[in-house]
Amino acid sequence: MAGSLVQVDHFEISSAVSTVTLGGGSSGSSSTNFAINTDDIYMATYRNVYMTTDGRVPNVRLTVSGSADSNANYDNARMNLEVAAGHYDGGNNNSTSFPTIGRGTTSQESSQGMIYCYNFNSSSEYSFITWSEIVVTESPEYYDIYGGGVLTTTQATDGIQWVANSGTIANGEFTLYKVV
Amino acid sequence: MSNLRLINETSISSSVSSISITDVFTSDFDIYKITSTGISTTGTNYVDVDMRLINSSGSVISSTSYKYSARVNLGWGASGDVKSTGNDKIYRAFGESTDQSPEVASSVIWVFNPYTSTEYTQVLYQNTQFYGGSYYTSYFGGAWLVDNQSIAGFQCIESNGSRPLASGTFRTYGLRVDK
Repeated sequence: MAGSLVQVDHFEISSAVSTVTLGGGSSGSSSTNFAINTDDIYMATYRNVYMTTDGRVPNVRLTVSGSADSNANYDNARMNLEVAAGHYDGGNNNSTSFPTIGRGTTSQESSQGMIYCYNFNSSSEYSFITWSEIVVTESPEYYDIYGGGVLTTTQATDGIQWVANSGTIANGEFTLYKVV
Repeated sequence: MSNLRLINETSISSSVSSISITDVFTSDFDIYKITSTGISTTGTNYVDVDMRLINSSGSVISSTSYKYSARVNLGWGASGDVKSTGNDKIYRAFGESTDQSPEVASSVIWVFNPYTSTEYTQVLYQNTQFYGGSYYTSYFGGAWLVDNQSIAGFQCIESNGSRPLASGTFRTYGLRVDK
């Protein structure tokens, strides 16, 4: 059935970790050993993601043969909307990850969202993502973020990784679906 | 089988000022997708179409515990922020505005963590509509119910009170996670 979502990987944090990887084969966080290896679109969801230290940020990288690409080739454009302030239009070229914003250390200060993954399996095209995220910071401030980004390297990527900018990710449930 | 499971499909069959979809959020899922299509109202005066949540006791939550922030893009070239730090509904979640068919509104809404009472219910929503004979708008945003209640359903409500909903279909899906 067109438009179906088929789960291919899942990981739930049971003790704090510095990274979470969906896909990436045997380097992934779960024991599934799944790697993105088809031209399909994939959708990652995450919920109840918070940190061990206030204000820390779980940024996003893509994996190449299971290893996160940390080169400064991540471009993005995004809009942050907040309940008590005007919107913020943001963008970066040549960053070492796709950005999000800091949050707190409890369920009430966490993020939920989804990331669509495009062209990951192509070694001749860039890998793209779009994301929709809803976040409560440690203050608390209430944000929803809509954005997109590209890793400007012609290489196949096989997974997506959340990486703490400092410290560890205390909690979160992460699932990857193939859109078929 | 798709991990996106259809739980409920409800259509408006007669004019109503609000419609409640109850007992769709359970402990079976943590993430839900709601689609609404073909929402119209009676008459040519357009009206906002809002959302409220319904707790597991069946009560529609109308306290000022909702927060939202959204962006509206208008077909005549304007745009703007729409936000609140405390409202009694999620403003325009189902439609920035709509009036009589064929000028309908449609939306996709994702709901996170509704049933658990230890996490806020959080919502991402996008909608698209045409109204008033010449107005096209699109809308995207996020909302929170900052209240630790177990949520089991939702309500679609027209904001005027005298321009009843005439048509529309609501589909609620649960996103299955195999652990």
